[in-house]
Amino acid sequence: MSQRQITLSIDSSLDDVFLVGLAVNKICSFIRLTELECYQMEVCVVEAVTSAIKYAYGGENCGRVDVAIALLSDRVHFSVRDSGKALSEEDLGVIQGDPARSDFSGLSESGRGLFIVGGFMDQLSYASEEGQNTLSMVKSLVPVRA
Amino acid sequence: MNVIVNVEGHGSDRIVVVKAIERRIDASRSEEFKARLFSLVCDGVAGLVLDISDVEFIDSSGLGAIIATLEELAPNGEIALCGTRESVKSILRLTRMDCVFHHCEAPEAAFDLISG
Repeated sequence: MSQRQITLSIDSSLDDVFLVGLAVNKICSFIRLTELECYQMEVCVVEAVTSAIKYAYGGENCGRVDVAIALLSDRVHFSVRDSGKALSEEDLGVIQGDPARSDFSGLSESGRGLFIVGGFMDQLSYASEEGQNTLSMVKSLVPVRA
Repeated sequence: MNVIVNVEGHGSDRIVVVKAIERRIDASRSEEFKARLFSLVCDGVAGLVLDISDVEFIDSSGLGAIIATLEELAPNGEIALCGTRESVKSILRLTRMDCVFHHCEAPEAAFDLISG
């Protein structure tokens, strides 16, 4: 399959995040992902977009969040972009798998979003340059048996 | 305010059976969800049976609301989830919250579990 891609864009409003989630789930259902994996991809993108709205834009409807989805032969690539404040060192620690930043066995109410993303995705990276922050997530596809 | 949970019945005055009637509990609804659950705790409830069989999607915010409610309950308070879909279970397992809440398929069994 050649690369196919689409970019979804919403205002930084929590009320609109479900639109992106539903689209991601439906798109994933057309490739080699199970129903459960489609849900998990939806959760990951919803978490990433929610994080951008809450932290990059401070929960205000004052910017845009773009979600680019690229379907490749062996993986799906999601990029969530915002133009707000970059992630903190603590959040970067979760993305980088720092055990000290990834222990949510306690009963804290918040902070599990990026941990969930890291648990369901196969690769996770974050870049912040020239006022643009991008969280990149990759889900590998199981090869089709001949 | 929209009704996000229904209080279905009081098996005793200390344990309440609640059904979440939202299909999605995400960051846009989690504060309202938490406020509704907290209002039950303020009424003196010590245990909650939370029927989430209609919940198709929950994210970390929704999960956080349930965790916060457990914290808000009395020291020995308990929450039993019932009717949890496989998709939601995968979130609970990943975050290890499957060890924190009781789980049952039916509300009646969940009620018996935390009232016994």
